[in-house]
Amino acid sequence: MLRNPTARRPTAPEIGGRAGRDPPLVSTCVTATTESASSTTVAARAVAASKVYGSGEAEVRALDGVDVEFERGRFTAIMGPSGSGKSTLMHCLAGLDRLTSGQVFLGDVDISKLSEKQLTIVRRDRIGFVFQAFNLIPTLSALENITLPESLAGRKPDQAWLDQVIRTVGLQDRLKHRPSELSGGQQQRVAVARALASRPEIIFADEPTGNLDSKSGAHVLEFMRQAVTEFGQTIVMVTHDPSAASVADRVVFLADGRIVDEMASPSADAILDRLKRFGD
Amino acid sequence: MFKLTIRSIWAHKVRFVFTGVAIILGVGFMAGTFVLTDTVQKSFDDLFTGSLQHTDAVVRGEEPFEGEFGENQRERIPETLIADVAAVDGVAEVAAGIEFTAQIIGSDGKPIGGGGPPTFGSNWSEVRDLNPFCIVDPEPRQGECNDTVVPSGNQVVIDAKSAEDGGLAPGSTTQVITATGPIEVEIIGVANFGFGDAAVASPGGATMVLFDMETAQALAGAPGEIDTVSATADSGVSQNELRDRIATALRGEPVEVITGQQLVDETKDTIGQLLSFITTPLLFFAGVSIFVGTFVVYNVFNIVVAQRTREMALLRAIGASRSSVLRSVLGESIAVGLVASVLGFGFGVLVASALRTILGGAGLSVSSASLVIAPRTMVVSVLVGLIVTIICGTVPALRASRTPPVAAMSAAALERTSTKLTVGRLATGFVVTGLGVLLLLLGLFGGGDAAIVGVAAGAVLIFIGVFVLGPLIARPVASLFGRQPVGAFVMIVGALLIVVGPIYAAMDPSGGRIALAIVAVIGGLVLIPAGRSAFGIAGQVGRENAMRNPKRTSAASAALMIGVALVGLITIFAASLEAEVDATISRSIRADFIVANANSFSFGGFDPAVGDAVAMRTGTDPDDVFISSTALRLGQVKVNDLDTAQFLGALDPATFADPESPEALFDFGLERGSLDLGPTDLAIGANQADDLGVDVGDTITLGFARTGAQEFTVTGVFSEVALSGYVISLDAYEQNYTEQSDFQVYAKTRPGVSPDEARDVLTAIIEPYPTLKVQNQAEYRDEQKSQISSIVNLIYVLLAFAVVIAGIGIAITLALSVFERTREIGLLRAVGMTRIQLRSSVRWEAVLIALLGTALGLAIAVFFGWALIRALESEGFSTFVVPPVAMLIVVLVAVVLGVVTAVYPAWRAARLNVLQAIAHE
Repeated sequence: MLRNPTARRPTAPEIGGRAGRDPPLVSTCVTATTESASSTTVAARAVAASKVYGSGEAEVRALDGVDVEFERGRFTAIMGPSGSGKSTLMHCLAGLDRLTSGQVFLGDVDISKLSEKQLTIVRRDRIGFVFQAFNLIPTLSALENITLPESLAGRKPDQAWLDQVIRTVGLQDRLKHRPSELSGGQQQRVAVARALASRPEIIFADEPTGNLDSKSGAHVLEFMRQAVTEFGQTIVMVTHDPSAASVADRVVFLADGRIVDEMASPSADAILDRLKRFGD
Repeated sequence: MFKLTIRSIWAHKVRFVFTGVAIILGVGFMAGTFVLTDTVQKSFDDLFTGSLQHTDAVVRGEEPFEGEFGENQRERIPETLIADVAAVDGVAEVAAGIEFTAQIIGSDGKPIGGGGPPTFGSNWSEVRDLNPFCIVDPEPRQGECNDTVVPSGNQVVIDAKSAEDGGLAPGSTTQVITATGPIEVEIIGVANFGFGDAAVASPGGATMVLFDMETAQALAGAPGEIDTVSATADSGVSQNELRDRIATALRGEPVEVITGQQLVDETKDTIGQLLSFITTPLLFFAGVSIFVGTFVVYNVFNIVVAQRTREMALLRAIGASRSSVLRSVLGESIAVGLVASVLGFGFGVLVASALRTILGGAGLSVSSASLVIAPRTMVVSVLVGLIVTIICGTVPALRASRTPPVAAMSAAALERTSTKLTVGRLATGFVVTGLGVLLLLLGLFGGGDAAIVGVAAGAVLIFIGVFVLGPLIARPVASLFGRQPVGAFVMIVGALLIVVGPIYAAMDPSGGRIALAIVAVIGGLVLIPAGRSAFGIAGQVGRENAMRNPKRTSAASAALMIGVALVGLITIFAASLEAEVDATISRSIRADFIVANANSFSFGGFDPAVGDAVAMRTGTDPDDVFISSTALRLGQVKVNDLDTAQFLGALDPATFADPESPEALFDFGLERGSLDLGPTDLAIGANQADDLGVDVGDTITLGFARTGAQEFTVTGVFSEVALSGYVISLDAYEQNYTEQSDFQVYAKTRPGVSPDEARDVLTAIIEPYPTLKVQNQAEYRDEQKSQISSIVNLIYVLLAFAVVIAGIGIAITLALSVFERTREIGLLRAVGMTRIQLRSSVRWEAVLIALLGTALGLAIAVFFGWALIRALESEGFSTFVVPPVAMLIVVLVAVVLGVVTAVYPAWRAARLNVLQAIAHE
């Protein structure tokens, strides 16, 4: 059912063309940043990223000097045991949390320097989210949830693109329904559609299948894979499920706040083997 | 479990503090009223006990009947009685007293006081033990009072408050105006009333001017007469003994003899009665605040328990019994109630202390004695607070105790209060509302002693019934009001206010207009962002949130509903009353000009010389300016065997006998008989005639203070009661009343004489009387209406308490809702909702809750108002007006209130940490 993870496509032109539509606020940030030659191929990257909780005896280094890049048009999975810092890394990359030291770039923009307000706009206009659960606003219909970021920005969604996304995730006949009237799998598909609808530069997914049965989970992963393969979307997914990670083009392994390994085009078995070695 | 109760309160301290505030304000209002009135009563008690401490017996005229406001209607007694009393064995010293209406003019030429407390003239007594006044300026050389100063002729002593207010001091000269005309006086002394700590600048805020006895009698128009003789007893003679001896000596005279102690008790009673005119409304409005607070507390307890379902279930799962869960939750309510009512009591003491200062500033000086905190105040405060919280805590506690233990494990069972309306709820709502309507109408139309109870119980039931039914309409109303056109309308009104306010003030700059303009601009500045919130996804989220749980929305708005219902009722009633006054005056008064007291709250009469001077210019001579004129005199009279005295008006019958004649000043709307009144004829209002069961040709007994019971013949029955329900001729008045002073003078301009010329003539006539003013009919009408609005404004202030509590209710409910939606808010923020948008959506939700409460409240107000006016139809009310502008203002104020209540919850929502919010359970 799932496509061959190795069947990749180059960056879709419409994604690259997005920079011209950036609101002035973010453009200002672009001029303020320093980097870099790799900006055309790298969607997001962390440079010497450290995140420290507490101090003294109780100090916990959730991230300890992480350097990592996420290429455009690729599907990357972040894996690691509990407490390895994988969620923290994602939160910092996505502008939900701030680093203690180091930098996070979204395209050319050093988002670690942005104000709270600017970060909100960046999240709205340039990042898509899929959370493990409670992804949708219960008072809004499925369609309203899908177009939420565009509505927040006060923009009309691109109808053709919206239709395509909705068709892809197979929600045509559920658009008027409230989240409580949808199954868990359908809710996650709405969440994926929302993440895609605003054509963000990057989508961050935090255990998107964690609360689903395997069949629904497979569906959701399929759509994410499709988004990368067919639309050239960039996706970074945190997961602890090897079979979910096997859909990705690349897997990055974290342990104790550091990148310890990575694999390209992994199979579920290879991932499982690698994970087992963390126990050693 | 007790430990758990305490822990739980501590864990949720913020919400309990808010809940407490709702109780603290209501209980504080009540406790404050008690403390204040106890303090005022005590200080007056001390004052009169002190100032009358040496008075052992008092002789005064008999009381034929009691006035409508409990005042005396005694005739004066001859001064020869002074010697008779002095001659009685056992009498040590005697002093006579006489009192009359007198208005002191301040150094600025304006009358002092008169806005409420009376303005008196009296005589100075040289008997120290029998004189409650104590001259402090010029300062006494020895002792407490300067008794070397004794007024004589045009020299006077005035009270210290009048001296301060009027900028007067010993040595100043000024005018005093009495019913016998203006007189030039020289102030030689300024006196306190009472002695030592109990001394005040003026007795109850009244202005006092004290002459020598002979001058006082002349000014009172009662030469040779006095009001009272007071006496002190020789040592060894008791008060009762002295009273009996004097009574025996004066047998046969039309007098009454009482002991000093009786006078003190009587005075205390009178003050108590007067205070109850203040206390009763204050307690009523305190009750309203507590009632409104009850809804707030109930709502909060309900939500808090619902939010803790999982915790309750866990307790049950690990073995807590139902009753221990019940006790734990109820215990929390009781603890909150106890703490809040004690705090409320303290708050009340503070309020009373502040109010005392304000009252002192406003003229009602209260002695410097400390606040009186009666045990009753403390007990009632705590009881009320406890009862409210126990009532409010019971239902949520029962619900908590019914939580199934499995709810601890399964998320499905956690689903909070269902949003579905049960048939039982609907039935209960309709039955309670219907019962309330029935009781209200029975009370209003049935009459009888229980009427007021019926009305109150009916109103309370209607509020509860509508509260129960509220969820039924909460959704559609929120859905309707939540739309963008409503927001656009609010924004437009806001913009208009900002533009029109300053223009209005600039057209004719005055303090009042500038204040109004500032209010308008501030209101506009709040309304624009409020309306703006309706737009975009933020507005949609706000609207959806207001719709998602109709029970919650409706409960949050219930308290405001009650406040708005009362505000609306008062507004509608006042508008109807104003329309009624307007119509009645237009229909029944044909006079072009009215001379009246400048202070519209003064009922004191003025010099008949004014009316005479107007009469001099009335007629057909070439220099006459008026075609007709008459004085209006008012008096109290006992009608047949009615318990309370009635107001009676006296006029020249020629000015109202034939309303079609060019000389007519009045049209009383004659129904039967004739209005051409002779000296023993009476015209009576139709309602009064019905009540007494009399008609044209019947005889009525009128009891007068001076002449006793007199037979009058009913010659006419009229329908327009613009002045009084009982009208006699001026001739009859002169025969039956001692004091001949005018209340108003009416005049109609001769054809061909310009209004300005007529006004100039009147202005010249009243020139020596700064207490009088000339009004044309329109001005008179406006003034009558403005008296209504000044009372209405006072009621608004008292209701503001309830509205503030209602606002707190909305704020807590929203804050709790925000807490409940933490994860949702986190998600919204994660996908790019800005803090501004988030605050905007909370604001719009708050505005919708406020609008819901306002819509329900106004609907109830219209019903109450309509029922009230219908019930008063028999009293001559016929106009029912719902003023659209005033209603719009109520709505706009509600929108502003919504914005204000959203400040705290919106701030809480906006400052949530996005990551933590997403991870929130």
